Amino acid sequence: MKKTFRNIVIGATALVLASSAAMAQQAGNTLDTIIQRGKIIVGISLSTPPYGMTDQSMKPSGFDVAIANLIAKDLGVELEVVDQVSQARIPNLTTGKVDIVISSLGITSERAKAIMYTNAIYVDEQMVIAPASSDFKTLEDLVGKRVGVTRSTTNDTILTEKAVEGTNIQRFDDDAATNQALFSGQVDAIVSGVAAANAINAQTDQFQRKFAVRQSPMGIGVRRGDFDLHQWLNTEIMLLWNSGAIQAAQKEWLGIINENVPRF
Amino acid sequence: MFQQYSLTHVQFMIEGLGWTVFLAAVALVGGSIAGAVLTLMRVSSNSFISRAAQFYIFVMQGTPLLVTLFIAYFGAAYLGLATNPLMAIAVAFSFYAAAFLGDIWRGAIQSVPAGQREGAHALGLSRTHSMYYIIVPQAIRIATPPTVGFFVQLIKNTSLTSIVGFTELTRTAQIVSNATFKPLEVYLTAALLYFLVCFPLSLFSRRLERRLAT
Repeated sequence: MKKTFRNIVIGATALVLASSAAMAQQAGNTLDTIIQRGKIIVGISLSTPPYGMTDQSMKPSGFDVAIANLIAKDLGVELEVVDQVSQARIPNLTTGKVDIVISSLGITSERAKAIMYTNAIYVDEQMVIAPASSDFKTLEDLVGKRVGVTRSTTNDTILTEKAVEGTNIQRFDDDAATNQALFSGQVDAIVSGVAAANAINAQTDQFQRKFAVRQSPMGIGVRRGDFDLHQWLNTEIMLLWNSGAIQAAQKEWLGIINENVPRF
Repeated sequence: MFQQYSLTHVQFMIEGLGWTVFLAAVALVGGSIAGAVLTLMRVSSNSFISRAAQFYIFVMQGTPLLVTLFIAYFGAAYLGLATNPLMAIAVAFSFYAAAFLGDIWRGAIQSVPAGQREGAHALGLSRTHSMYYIIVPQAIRIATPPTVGFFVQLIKNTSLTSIVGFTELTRTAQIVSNATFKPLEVYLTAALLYFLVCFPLSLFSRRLERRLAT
């Protein structure tokens, strides 16, 4: 009886070790895996319009989906979009649930410790948006005000980092909730991207962009150590940029075209 | 770019509701089985078994379900175990439900008056028999309202599973609200759908209680 139990424990430990060894081996050749599988699994948040959203027939659409389609086409594989909440973007990648993440993923040095970034596909500008009647010109003006932001986004990071002491930061789960807080007067201002600002302006003209907080380049997230896939994606981004495909997607979904995107 | 809130969206949310109900069913079945085991451990005369069960209940009741879900899904993957979301959810919810049901049912069994147990003993029934014929039938009646109350809570807790990439009712509502920018209408629809599932369950509990009382 005791022996059986010990054998089970040893067996289970061996299984865990063997499978983690298998996983470690797998990291680094995701590119081969994708081609052999005939399918690329891309993590995209479908609740972040206009980057990731759904169309009239509830199919994934938006800027990130458009880029994912271009990549899948050039790889010659099928595209599988995995919907994810923004907090799950990096865990999904590092635990191998998805091959890459194209999910309005702002580039920060903190995140770059956990994952690798490709060259940028879009540079957003993070700005303060507030009722037209209010008079905010700098971050100092936000002291004592309630400022809304979407949790786990670079908007959150930058606001948390730069906000002057005394600013009341309120974090919401998605852009719809953040925008709604502004519409309903629950917050005095929000920090969001250009695309979100356009979305707000498409609905109402009561709110204005006040001032820009920072530029935020967005890239594609790749698992650490996946250099083959990383290099292929950078090559692809260069080709898509030269052919104008990235700019076309920016124009279609974000309403603005970057003059240039950072390469590193 | 933004869409009108339409029947297509409601249909999409009803699909999400299907998953919510399915997840709740998995959690109920898994949690009931594990909960029954825990209950038996808790009322065991062996103090080691009883303490072990109590320790488990303390730990699980003291940690948020969200964290349990995270550990079951991402944590297992870090250990190199391949987990699909459904497996992780089934495991996390069963473990979570077991801790609460184990305690609810233990309380119900212990609240059956001691005289019943003594009477059964005096009639010469063994511990197992008196449990089966005398104690448990009375305990079920006491346990019904809190059990159903917990089930209803469990159904609503399935909204947490969106964190591990499950597109259930709350996640579909999030997606629709972001596509239409009509959060109020969308979340009211979601609330109504949850109600349509939970309310009959509460009614059923009421009826069950009345039937068991006679």
